[in-house]
Amino acid sequence: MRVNPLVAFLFNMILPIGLMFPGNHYQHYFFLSVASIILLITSKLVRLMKFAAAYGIFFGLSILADYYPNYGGQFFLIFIVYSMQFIPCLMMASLLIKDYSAGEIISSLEPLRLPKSFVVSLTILLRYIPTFRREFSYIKEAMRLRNVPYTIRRPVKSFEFFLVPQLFRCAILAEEITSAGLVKGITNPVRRSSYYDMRMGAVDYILCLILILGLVVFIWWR
Amino acid sequence: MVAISTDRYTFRYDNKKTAALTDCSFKIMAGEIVLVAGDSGSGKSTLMKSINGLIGETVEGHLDGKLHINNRDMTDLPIYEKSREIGSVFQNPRSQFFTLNSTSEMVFAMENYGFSKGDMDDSLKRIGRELPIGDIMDREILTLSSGERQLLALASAMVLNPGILVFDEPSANLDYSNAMKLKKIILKLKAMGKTVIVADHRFFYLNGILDKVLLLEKGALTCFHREADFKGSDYDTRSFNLFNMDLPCRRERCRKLAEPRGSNALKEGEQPEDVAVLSGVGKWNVLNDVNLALKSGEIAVLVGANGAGKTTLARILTGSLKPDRGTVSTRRLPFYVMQDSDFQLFGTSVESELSIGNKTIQPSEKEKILKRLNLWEYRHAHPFDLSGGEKQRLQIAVAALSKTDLIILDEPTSGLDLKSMGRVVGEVEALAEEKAVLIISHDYEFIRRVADRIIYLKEGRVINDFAFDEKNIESLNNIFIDMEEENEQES
Repeated sequence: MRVNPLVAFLFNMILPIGLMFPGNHYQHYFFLSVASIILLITSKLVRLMKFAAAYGIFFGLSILADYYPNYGGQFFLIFIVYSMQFIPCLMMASLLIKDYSAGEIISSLEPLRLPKSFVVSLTILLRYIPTFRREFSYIKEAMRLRNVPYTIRRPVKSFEFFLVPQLFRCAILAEEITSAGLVKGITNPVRRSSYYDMRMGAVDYILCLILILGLVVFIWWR
Repeated sequence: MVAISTDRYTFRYDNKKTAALTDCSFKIMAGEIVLVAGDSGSGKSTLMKSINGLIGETVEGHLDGKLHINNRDMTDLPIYEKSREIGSVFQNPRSQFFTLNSTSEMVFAMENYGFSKGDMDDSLKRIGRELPIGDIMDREILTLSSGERQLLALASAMVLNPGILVFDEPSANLDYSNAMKLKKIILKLKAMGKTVIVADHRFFYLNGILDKVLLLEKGALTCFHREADFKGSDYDTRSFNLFNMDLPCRRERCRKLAEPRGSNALKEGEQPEDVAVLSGVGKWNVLNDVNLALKSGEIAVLVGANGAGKTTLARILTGSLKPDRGTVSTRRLPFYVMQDSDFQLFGTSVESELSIGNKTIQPSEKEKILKRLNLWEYRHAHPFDLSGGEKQRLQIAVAALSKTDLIILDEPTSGLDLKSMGRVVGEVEALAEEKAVLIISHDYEFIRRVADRIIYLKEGRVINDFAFDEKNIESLNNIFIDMEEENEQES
């Protein structure tokens, strides 16, 4: 089963709004649960387990930081807690990046009548992320072959050498992907159709309702 | 009917003083196959971007003159209007796709124009009758071979049924057999009444089928109304007839040298040293039982069809991949120049690029190599500001200064014009004076000029391995014919 990309977009808009109204620690578990349920109903079990493992590590680190507040624990605790808050966002982002084509994402956003330039820019960003991962591996290989450091023991130098090719590749690819979209009529102002059925279903509406109601409840109940 | 016409069309990029295209006037009739030829920097890409409408959208500059497509003035039309008439197939197979699924890519343009699902299905069926797209439907684009990606790019460009198709250097990433397949496809497109415009440095695959040639030289255009007229011009058109080219082999040229050169020069009776040995190497189901020894001072060219395992073999030599079976031994870590040099440029200037990973290099050595490779004037420039040929020369400079004894070059002439390719030949020969060189290439002309040895990889094995000279040209030609036949059988 698939959920509509709009559900993932709505989730990633609602969670940051919810974070602006802290005061109820059930809020975080609510968003975590909804994100986990979405991954479950879309049969992404392996991915859910990976996120669960990552969450477990952060949770362990938060307990450790809490036990040792005088050894920098207080500083790291804030960072760790905020990172944990955004894990549900990453879960939804993984759906958008891995499970939908650029065409499906643009089609799902069509009913919102957003400006074309915004939709196209957002889609190019999502389209670029899997390409970035591949390019990252090519650059790492090239660095190894050139005897250029890429090691955690020399983070600044590693980052400096990695940044140059990555930034320029980013600019080149952005132009190429944009050109590819332009010659295929991506800026056409007519209402876009979809080869795939991107209509919201009952499950999508229920999930949206749960998210909105959840936000209202946690803003009010603090 | 006139498909495309220009009237004193001139274009100058915003940051340039001279125009990329100057007073270009020509007419292309419907159903013609037209070659746009010219060296790097002559204005070919600018002309193609003018035709498909990218000039003005992603490229800023100053435009004069008129451009008409199907008798409509295109100058002020938005690109989505132009794209209904013109389909574009770009050079780079990696980033010319907007989505990552083949079916999604094919329907993408139709979705943008609001086609109904029924019309989209009809269009896909129509394309399926015209092109062999059955095997590439609903696949991840990253898993497609380069020939399949080219086919997908063409199918995606045809879904709106445009009358004009524009190809920008289609052979740059195709081997010989896929380029000859492209010839058949282009003839099919002509039979369908399409106008086909191809901009390319290599045009052997267009031999005998051209209706017109537009030659660009520093932005000025000359129109040849017949292929024969272009062949009779001063422009180097020998590569129309690949296998009959009169090109002296490297061994023949070296025999004419008075003195052997470089530290690899052998004394009488001396045998060249092995710098890398592969013994019984197997990897996945790509390589099976590869046995190979690479020798110092030798320029070995590894040839094979797309997917034969050439890059896999190179990555095994550099240690990026471990073989599943067999052993690899290299004296030192080889220096690998990737096909796309963008991944290997880490410096903020050409000069500083040479020091990266090689801190002991002296300024005098840098100056010597940069002057030899005509890069000294660019020493303060950012590597990413260089042209394709200049970046290639910079990579060769880095390779020449490296401490390795084996340099691997992966398709070093991809996208380069004939002049740049000739320069690469000289630079590779200079590298071979001090080191062993292994080249992966499908560029026949380049192989003819530069190879000492040909290694043919097929079905995961080295099935032919011979010293290359004028007596063995037929063997090389047979390899290319064999690859073409194998490709035809597979399709």
